[in-house]
Amino acid sequence: MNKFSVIGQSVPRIDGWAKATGSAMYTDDLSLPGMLIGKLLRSPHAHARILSIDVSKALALPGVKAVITGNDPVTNKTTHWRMRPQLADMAALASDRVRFLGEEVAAVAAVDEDTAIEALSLIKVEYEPLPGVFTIEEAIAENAPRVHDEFDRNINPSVSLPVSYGDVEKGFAESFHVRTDKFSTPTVIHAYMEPHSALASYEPPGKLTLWASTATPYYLKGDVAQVMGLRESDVRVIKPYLGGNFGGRNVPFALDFCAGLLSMRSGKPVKITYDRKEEFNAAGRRHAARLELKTGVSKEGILLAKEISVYLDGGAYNGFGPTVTFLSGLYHTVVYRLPNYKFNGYRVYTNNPIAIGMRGFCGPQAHFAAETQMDMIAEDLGMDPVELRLKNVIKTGEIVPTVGVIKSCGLTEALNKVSSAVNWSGRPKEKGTGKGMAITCFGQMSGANFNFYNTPYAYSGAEIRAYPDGTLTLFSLAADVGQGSDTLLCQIAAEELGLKIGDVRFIGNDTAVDPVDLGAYSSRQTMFSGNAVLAAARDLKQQLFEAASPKLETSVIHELEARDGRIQVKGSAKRGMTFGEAVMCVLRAKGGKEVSGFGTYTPRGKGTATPAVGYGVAAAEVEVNKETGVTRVTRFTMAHDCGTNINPMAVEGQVYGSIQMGLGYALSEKLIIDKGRVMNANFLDYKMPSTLDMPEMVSFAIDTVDPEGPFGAKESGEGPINCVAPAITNAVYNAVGFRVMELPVRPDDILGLRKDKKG
Amino acid sequence: MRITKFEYLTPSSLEEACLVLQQHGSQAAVLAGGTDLLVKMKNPRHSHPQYVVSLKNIQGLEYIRRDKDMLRIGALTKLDAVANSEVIKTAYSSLAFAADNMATPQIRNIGTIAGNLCNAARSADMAPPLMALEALLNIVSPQGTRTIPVDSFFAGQGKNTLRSGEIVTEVVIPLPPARFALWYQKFSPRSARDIAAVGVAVALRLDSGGKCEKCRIFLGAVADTPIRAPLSEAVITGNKIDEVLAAAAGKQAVSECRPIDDNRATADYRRHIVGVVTKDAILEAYRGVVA
Repeated sequence: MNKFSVIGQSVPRIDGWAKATGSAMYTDDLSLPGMLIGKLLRSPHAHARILSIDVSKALALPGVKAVITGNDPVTNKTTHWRMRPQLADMAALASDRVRFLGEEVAAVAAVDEDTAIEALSLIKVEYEPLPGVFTIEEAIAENAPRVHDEFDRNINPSVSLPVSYGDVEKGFAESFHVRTDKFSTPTVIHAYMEPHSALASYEPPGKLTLWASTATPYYLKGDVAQVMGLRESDVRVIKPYLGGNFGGRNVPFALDFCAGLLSMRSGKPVKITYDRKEEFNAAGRRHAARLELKTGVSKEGILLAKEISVYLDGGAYNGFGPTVTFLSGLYHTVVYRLPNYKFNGYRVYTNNPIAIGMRGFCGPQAHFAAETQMDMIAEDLGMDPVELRLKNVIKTGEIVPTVGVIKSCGLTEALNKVSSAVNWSGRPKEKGTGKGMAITCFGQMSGANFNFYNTPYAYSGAEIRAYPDGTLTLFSLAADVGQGSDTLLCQIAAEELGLKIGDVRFIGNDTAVDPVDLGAYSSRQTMFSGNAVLAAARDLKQQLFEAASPKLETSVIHELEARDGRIQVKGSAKRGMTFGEAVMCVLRAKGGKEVSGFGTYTPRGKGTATPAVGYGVAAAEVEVNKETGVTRVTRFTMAHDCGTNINPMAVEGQVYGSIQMGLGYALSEKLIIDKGRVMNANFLDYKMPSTLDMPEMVSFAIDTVDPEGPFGAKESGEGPINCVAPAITNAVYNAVGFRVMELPVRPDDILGLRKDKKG
Repeated sequence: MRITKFEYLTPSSLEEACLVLQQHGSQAAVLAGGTDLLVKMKNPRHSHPQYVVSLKNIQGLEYIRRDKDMLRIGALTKLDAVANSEVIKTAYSSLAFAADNMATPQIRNIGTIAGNLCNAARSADMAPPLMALEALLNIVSPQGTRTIPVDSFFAGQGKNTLRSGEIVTEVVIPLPPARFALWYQKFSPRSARDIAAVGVAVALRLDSGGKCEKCRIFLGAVADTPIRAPLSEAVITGNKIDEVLAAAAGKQAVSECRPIDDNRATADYRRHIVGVVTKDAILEAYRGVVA
């Protein structure tokens, strides 16, 4: 039986009506009186020196109101890396050198889009092309051309941090079987439904309002202030409804700065929206990876040591790449027990477009390699791959050196659940039938503990105001990017205060109004923002109890509860008052001061990386057409341990979306970059799976209660994608005997038609 | 991407349209549905017409009707209408299928049958089945009218054999004789109604003994234009069709295609798929007759 009234319910999203009816306003839907349209001039070279920029003709074009370049005094580096300024490597606009094709060189604001585009064509930039590096191998070669002059072989040593514990050499020596395998994964893009958009309005003297399609309004406020030379809180960032994030909107892009600078220069509001081609070319992508895994096991299949080397194609600048690099090792440590572990990760600068964070933050790359190799090891040992996993998965209470105590882990239950759901033990064992099945595991952090921004604020804050009519307003800067966090936070507030979801109004997304929250990345909104909301609700509840208690003539033995819209003596609905009456008591006692509760959450002393890990298990069932080599996923099953499942419908949505994204990663998606030029910058040639490619999907929730999570909840936004691709490719192996070491697997790979490929 | 500036002309008769086209020659382009033309006009690698001549104001070019032993389809007939026409579905369900499996509903609601042919993409889905059916195009110009077979209409990737001032007005398809069937099979690795990596059309007529009396096979997306596969046809013609024969014809088709490597598929893979899809299309067409 559900002990909660709102938690655990498939509550429809509070923004569902607006989005389904089309009344929801996204950034590009907004317009202000006198608004100008901004456009960015982009480099046609992957690597070149800028010799001169002449904007005079553009400025002279009627209708053009402002032109800026990297030579204007706006050269501050743009970055979230306040704690590690050595990682700040990109300016709002390039000034002396461009490092990728599509890098922003100048920006114009004009009365309309046509004029702005014409103005771009009138800017004369003189370039001196430079030799570039476009693959990891080229970039790390001796004497390779340098993307950034200070970094030999294009590796920034402060990004490449080795991590190890135990003694891998000893572990390998004690192993019955050791194997080393190389894996390769492609670069793919986020492909948000909503392109990036920013609308800036400069209000003299010295205030700026920026509406932006960001997942991190707090960081963006600081970043924009820094570049524009304003004080941090002179900038007000508002995040309207957001059409998809997938880990990519937590870094600023040129449009965020240029909209502000152009507005300041022109005295008019300026809006810049990327077109789809800009999205493909210059708005971030997932890191392509080369991974080498050396793993040792005992005869019984116990993992004894693992050594990992990862090279990531970072493109021309850092973005959130250093975090991606660090995490590419971490995933290996949280799923299976590893007594000895060694990781070296290198993020390599290339003259490709910038790689940033993307759903899973290197989880999909790491899991593809790890989960493929687990099946290979099982085959080597003649062991059932599920049995091998059951022997090695982390259990609740174990200590992982890179994280701390794992306070909840439902991997064993999830493996059992999925195995029985797909009748794993009854599957056909022979290979080459064209039909195959495979099971994989994943782990994912529930929010990052790192303080790279050097923020003095709590990581998440929330305020709840209560009114005598029995309603609440919840203020939080948590970013609903489409994942449904607004709804979930309202559920948490309503649950703790004994109200209904309809009693809560959510006022978020405005840095001038809401308490600081670091935003949506690292799957942190449930754990971090949820805990802040819970703390605020508890603060408010305490005030209500204190004011209600004398009226209810309670004595020390009585305990109060907030339930069914009432503040009452626990278990006794008759000795109580309505929630609104209790609010009125506080209001009167405080002489009319707003009745408000505050809460914060910062994971102090909660481990080194994350306060909790979300887990899960997936099974893919595939059919491979042996004539065409085409793989169809017929059914995909996932059991997800997200702790307490606060909103099952929302979690299912995350699981289904992850299956779609992982399916593309496994079978069809790849951003083709040739000498720095994106060759398939459109949805005709960039093959995302459509609804017709989707398999039957089955989603189970594994109930664990994480002591750190709000009501026991953990992440669900990123983890599920991690194990999708290897489940599909291992199933391909079981179907036709082709072992996939490089994603995406193509039909001609499977048919053996590519001479350079072997499975 | 932005469309460069152009003059938009809206003649209200074919005569007027032909004259305008002749007057502006290569600087003019015809707009039927516009689903290909407008995309090209946004692409800096294509030449941009200074005059866009819209046919949308010309009445009487949008119809599907039976006329004695012919099926007549007006040039401006939407792909969606082709896909859903009972007349077409009754005569050649596979032709309706070809239209129904193109692009998206939005495109099919705007794109036209003649536009798909005039755009002359190597992967044009309407071309192989119409060529296999020996369909004809009626064309008008200020000099009069002429009729040409669809299979001599393509001149290269993106090029057709229309002369200055000419407009396609009608597609004419013979109605099926006895013991005849058409099959169009399209392949793309993604299940969405994607652009064809390979498309194969097979039109078969069997004799009274069940052997193949006549056969026309056309391959799409594997050469500069949709191409005929005569050697593959020869394997089938005069013979009783079975799996082995169909596979042999498929193998022959592999030797006849001239695919390119591109970001959608390699030439090697396309060749392989031509064999598989030709074999399947022959067998499906055969089943269509004997069923």
